[in-house]
Amino acid sequence: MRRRLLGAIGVGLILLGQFPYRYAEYKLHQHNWTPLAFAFPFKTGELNIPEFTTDVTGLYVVSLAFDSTHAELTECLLGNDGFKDKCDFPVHGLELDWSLRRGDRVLVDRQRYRPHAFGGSEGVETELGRFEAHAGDAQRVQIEIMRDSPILAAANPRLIVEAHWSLWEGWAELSQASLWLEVVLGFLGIVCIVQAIRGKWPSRPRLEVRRATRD
Amino acid sequence: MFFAISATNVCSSRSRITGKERDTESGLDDFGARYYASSIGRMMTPDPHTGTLLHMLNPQRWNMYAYALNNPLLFTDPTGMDAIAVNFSGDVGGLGHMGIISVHPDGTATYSRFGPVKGGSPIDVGQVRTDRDLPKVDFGQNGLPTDASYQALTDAVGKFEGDYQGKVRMAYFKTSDAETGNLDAYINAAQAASDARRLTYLGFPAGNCATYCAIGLHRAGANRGAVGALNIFSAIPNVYYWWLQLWANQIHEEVTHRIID
Repeated sequence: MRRRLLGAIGVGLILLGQFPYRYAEYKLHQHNWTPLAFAFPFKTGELNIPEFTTDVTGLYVVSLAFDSTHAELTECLLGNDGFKDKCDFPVHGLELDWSLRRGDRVLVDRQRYRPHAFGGSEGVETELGRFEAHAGDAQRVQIEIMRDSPILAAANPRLIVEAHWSLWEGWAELSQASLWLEVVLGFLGIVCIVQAIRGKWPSRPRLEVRRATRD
Repeated sequence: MFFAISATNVCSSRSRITGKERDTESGLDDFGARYYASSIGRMMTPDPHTGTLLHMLNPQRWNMYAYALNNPLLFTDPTGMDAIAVNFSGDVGGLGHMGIISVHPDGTATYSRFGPVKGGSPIDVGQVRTDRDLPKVDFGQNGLPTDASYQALTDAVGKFEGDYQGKVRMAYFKTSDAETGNLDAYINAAQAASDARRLTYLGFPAGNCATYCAIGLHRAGANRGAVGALNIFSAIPNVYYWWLQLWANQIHEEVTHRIID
């Protein structure tokens, strides 16, 4: 009976440890947080960018991403002041306008790129701007590049539209934190199961010794 | 003749202790918030940042006329380039979130933060994001940002973090120009490493937003002391900010805390 109880506790601990991690992983993968990741040729003129549908209601960030082969140089070309000493030749940086439409409605009208926010998970990223969206909305970004940049063109430019990190970061944090809980509870659960299989109950031998002494 | 020229040169240079200007009439060094009398090695007015009960734990702080905790070789009290630890106390289910601001002499400021990527892998790379669009910091008579400037900074970092509506706490550290230069170099290096996907984000135990902030403060010379930059408290952002409130006041001159709802 005790062995069964110990085994059940072990299984329970393992399942209990799994729950928060599985739940966080489910929430993290429940939505498409990046509805658009579109590679484009970096040359002057208007770009033909496909329509995308937002999956959650909230703030979205529109940004450009580049490969990080020459990260510091690319940051400099994008206008990041922290890297302005990394361009030691005539700079041909980013000069473009971007617009955002939802059906016939213009949400952002030909806004000129202004370097202000950098960083992301797709390489060297620079933020173009943000917009509020509802789940199921279909939008289209338009970009007009004013000036060529051979270095940026070679860095595999992509247009990224992703949900603001405040919408998903908590789940990513919970996923990581709950893994530790899963490891600890899982270890305790395995110990219980092993003890149950081996048939050892910590207090049992002592009791037997005392009984033998009385006899 | 030699001594006369030498004396003239010395007097014409107004810069004195830690680069502060000396008032030629009174002979006092201007520290923004207070005047320092080098002849007696004391401030002429009491420390305006009397702080809290915790402030009183350090006996060196009981003398409100002392300069740099009576340890000028270790602590300096310059104005100009500074560092701010920012705490978003209600984030991540109450564990909090942290970022760091580098403030430059011309009032321009850079906010930087470290977070996970959305891949969901338990041990994954992290991402550094930097906002270089903060409003210019206005300094008051005491050499610290004005209330309006604190509010504007709070609004800006809150907007960057996704229209954050909760409580924002700031720990403001006076640092030297070189120290904030170190902080800027740290932020840039972290940004480049993040671009190259070389920064590991571990979440709870270490390698999270609070440790990023802690190392930044350490690089800015604002977190020195017996405990060091990385400690067990930086595992959880809100706990780390509590540690800053508890100990930073004891080991560093003129750290101020602001809580803006």
